[in-house]
Amino acid sequence: MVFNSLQYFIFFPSVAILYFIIPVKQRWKLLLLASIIFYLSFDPKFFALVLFSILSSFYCGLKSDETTDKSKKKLFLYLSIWSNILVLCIFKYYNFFAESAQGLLNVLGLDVSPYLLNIGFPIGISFYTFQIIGYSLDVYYGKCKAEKTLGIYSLYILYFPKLQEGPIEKTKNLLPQLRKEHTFDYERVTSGLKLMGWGLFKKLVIADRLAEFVNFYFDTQHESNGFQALIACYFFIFQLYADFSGYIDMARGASRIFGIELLKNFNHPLFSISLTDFWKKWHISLYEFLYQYVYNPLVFNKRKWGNNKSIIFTIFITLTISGLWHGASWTFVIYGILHAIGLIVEYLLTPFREKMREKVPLFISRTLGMLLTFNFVVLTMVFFRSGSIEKTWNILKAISEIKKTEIGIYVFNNIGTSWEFPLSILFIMILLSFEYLQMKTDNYLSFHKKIPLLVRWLIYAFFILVIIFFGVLTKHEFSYAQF
Amino acid sequence: MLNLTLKIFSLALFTSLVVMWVFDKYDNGYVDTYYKKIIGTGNSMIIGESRGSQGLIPEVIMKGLEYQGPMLNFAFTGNNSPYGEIYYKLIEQKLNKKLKNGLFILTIDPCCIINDKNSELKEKQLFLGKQIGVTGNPNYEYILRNYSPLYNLILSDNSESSNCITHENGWLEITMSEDSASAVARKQKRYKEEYELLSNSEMSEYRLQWLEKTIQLLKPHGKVVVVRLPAWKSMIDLENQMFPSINDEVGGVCKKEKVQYLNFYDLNTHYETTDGHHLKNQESIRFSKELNHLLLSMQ
Amino acid sequence: MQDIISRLTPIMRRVFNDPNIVVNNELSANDVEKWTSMTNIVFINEVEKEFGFTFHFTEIMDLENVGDLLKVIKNKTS
Repeated sequence: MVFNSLQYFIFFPSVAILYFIIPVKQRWKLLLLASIIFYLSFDPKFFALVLFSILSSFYCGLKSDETTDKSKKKLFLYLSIWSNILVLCIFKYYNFFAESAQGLLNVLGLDVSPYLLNIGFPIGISFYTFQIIGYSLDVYYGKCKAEKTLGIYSLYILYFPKLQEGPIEKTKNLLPQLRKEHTFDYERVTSGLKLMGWGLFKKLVIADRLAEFVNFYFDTQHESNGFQALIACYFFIFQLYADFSGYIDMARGASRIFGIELLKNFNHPLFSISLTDFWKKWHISLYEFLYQYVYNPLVFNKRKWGNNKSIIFTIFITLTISGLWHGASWTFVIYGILHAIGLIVEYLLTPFREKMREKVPLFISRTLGMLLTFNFVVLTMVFFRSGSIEKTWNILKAISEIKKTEIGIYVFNNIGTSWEFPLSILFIMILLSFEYLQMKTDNYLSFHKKIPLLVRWLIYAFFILVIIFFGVLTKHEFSYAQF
Repeated sequence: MLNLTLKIFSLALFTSLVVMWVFDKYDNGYVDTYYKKIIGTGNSMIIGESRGSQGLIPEVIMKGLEYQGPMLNFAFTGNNSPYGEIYYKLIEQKLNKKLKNGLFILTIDPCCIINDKNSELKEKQLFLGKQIGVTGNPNYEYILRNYSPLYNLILSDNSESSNCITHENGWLEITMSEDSASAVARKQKRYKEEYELLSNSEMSEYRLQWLEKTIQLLKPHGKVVVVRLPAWKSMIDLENQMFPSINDEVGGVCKKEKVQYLNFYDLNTHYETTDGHHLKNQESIRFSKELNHLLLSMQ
Repeated sequence: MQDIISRLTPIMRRVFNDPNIVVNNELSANDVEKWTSMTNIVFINEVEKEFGFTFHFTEIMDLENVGDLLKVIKNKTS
């Protein structure tokens, strides 16, 4: 039941209405029931697996809290973390490891055919596994007490707005909110609805429209047209951003209606002025998880190697894990490594960059930084999307050999025969404008209170009609749902 | 909360009215080949694949018969509407449950009752496999599923091609260039395609079972007749060669369900086709008349 | 505490390349442009060198702002 499906269109309002009708104290139970139904709507056969993850981490958390013996605490920590990582590895990474090992052994002259699994994996496993790891570590380090109510903890893992694509929630953010009693608040609920509307717009009108061009190029044999490749690569970053942030907005909007604020996962990353800046603004919950639980402990541990060595080593490990988290394929690993290299180069060139910034007006240095960062991200995303190193190579080669005739052919095929290409450009401009406006003004929506009620609601009606008439309403799965 | 609910309801109502108004305007134009079948109504029905869709004309078949009209041609194509659960459910929806003396003509050729050796039911991935409702006019679901983004409704100059007309009764009238070179080329192409299709397929127990269930569904509501339309002799010979048991299998189902199986197969030399499969327009009229006479004699 | 602040200030100004930094309890990485995940570890190393002690990871993993850091330094040097 994805967020842009008819079923969700019926499911969500039903849950929301019931939520405000039933007694306040029982509302979290309704959310738990709704989350279970939501989970089962995907692939019920994996329910036992997520139940295992919930029960194992819940039990280990309780046991860890009960004892003061450090070694016992560590045991329960390892039990919780490693059992869940094992599940993740088996269901998501087994084939990748098996095929990679096969490749390596073949190179060494050994002919092996490993048994491969063909079972798929539970929805949201990458997200909730990290959430469980975070929880287990927080309990171990005494940052929070273990949750004593199984129902609340289950809701913490299964909570349906964030189940499929995150954000990867923090114990101290989400868990306390689940216990609180949330009442109806007009401003909060309408704010949530507006956020959902904006997310739906990004998904249906922008992401799914761009997906037609991107999928047509990447999923069929068109690598040879360099200009088409260029368009597809640039469209992809906007598609991915609109898709992922659209989902997150729908998740946060839905959750806000219930009175629960989920973590912000994006902070206008398209305007990042450096790669370091980008990683603070793109998929923030993943970045913060990796920073808190991988980067920080590791760089601290290795600090005796010297500043540069420890930083370089840690960035490399952290970004490789980030790449691998995205998918069980070498293209994702390369994606991570490229970003690691980018961050390392950026770090090492810091003195040089600071000298240049002193000589050049701020506006120019920021714009240059933005362009460099944006294009670097577009480049790395080709690996992310293409699915194979060979295909990526072909695409990049085609782009480097663009011919003027290709531009002509592309224009002929796409402009004049249909409105889709000009509309795609238009909606990208609209997206960037809104993003820029949101970035510059803290609460740009506050102006709307000055508009008369009827006009305001006519604007909402217009917005909904734009989604209906310009949205690509045939089903397109959210990009990050495969994780 | 009540205040907000009322506001949302008003908003939903307003936007729905605007959307319905646009759809209504669009519906006065043309949607596509299949839309008229989807929104069409009828008591009696023609069920099956493209030979039936193009070869059987409701009014001609029903002339003088005592069965309850009007008749709707609800046959699509071998890919979209072979016998199976998907097609069955749509027929069930279309069916007038109060009807007692309708006429139901079920067309048969190999594509209705075979399946790819190595793959799933192909109709699941096509538009009928995704369509939930086939009643209601306009059919918003059909347009939403197949024609998004919907701004095309407003912008496009939607008009039916004169070579391919779907009538109100669902009959699909296709006119093709009849110069001998095109006609021969078409037949050769179709023959080759048919050969490849039949080579990779096998008789499907699943489809035969659903053919039986479809007959069982329709029997209480009138007369059911299973028809194998005539086609180009070479095509027929090919089908016989690849699936020699087809007549026995279908005949067996019909005998079990006590309905007639009219196999016009052997009379094929009397009818001209456009491409080896589908009767030419005039031939469709002629064949529909022949079927009508046969049905009259059976009354 | 004032002594700690006066020793911390030049370190922060040097590591984060900002001569205008004024150390106060609420100051955090969000307020200083060059205080990144990378310069943070450089900062930690410099603090350890200046005050002559070694941090334990659990002491620094929860630091939200300079105020928290000052408390830890105070504990370790008293």
